[in-house]
Amino acid sequence: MLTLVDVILNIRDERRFSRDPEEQEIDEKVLKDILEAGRRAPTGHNVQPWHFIVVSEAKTRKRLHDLVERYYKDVINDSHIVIIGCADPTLYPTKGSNIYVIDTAIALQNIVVAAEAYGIKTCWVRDFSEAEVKELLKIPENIRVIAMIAMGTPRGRRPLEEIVHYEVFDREKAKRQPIIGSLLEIVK
Amino acid sequence: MSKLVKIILNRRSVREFTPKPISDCDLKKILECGRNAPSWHNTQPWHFLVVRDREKLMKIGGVGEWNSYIQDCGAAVFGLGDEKNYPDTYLIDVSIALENMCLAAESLGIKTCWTGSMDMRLVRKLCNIPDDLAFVCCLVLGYPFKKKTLNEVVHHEEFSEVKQEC
Repeated sequence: MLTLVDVILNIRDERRFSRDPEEQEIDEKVLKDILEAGRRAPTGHNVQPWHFIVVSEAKTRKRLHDLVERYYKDVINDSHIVIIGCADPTLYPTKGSNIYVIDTAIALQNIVVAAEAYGIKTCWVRDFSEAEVKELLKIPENIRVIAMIAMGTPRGRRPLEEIVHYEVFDREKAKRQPIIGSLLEIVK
Repeated sequence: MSKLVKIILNRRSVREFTPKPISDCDLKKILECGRNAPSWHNTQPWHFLVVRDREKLMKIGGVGEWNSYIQDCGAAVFGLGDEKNYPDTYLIDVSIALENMCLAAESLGIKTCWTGSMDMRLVRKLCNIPDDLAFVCCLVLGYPFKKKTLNEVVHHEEFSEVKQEC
């Protein structure tokens, strides 16, 4: 039987999400469970400093795409949902404490593990312009953006029958939509 | 709901332990889950210091107002980060690794408590932690102290000195 340890050991950041809209659907109940896993994470002094912004509209993801480092652009483009983990650093009894970073990281990893348990792949996105993300998502001044979790269905391997040819090259098999190329073109 | 997700949702911090030791096998599984955590640009800026020696745990848990439960725990895992080389990212990375361990422990029936309230100068000295590694947080692990049964604590009509478990 699969254990939670197996699930955790199986987690890898997914860099290539499926662009098939049907494959991308994440069930609403499943999403709620995943967020619940974040909500139940432990925090210092039980402060629960976090806010989670769930972004699923392609329009917003397209804007987010512009604000992340280049190696994360495909991840943001192709994922089905991006969860932005934010925190209020001012809530802790000790001024200047960095516990809000630890606490929000814990919650986001709970979200990652819960998603993996449901077979949904994730990627931690850490390099972005915080100021611009805050402006785009209307995040208040006193709230910090800690990280984003992009999630979706991984882009599967193409089936053998699509890529293996017998005796001669079957040109029909080569007539397919290119996988490489930007989803942004499709959005436009 | 997925049974595995239920484990995550049911996790609670526990601060009362029986001194039952954690097996090497379980501890290794837990640490593997930490080692396997994602990190910024795969920098893996972490070290994990495992303290199981009862004498050390007695000393660490003997200082401070809220730390006595550490004296009974099975193991304390100190998450240390390479602040010098990765000042902007080590905090999140070490936290992710410790949370992986926390969830792994929970799934093995081992309870945990995140804490940073111990006297770290004492721990650094006791355990020879290099100065250039930053302390992020500690995960205290152990088997929970069992609640006494109703029969042991409830008295009917008059107080009976010797309560035995039925």
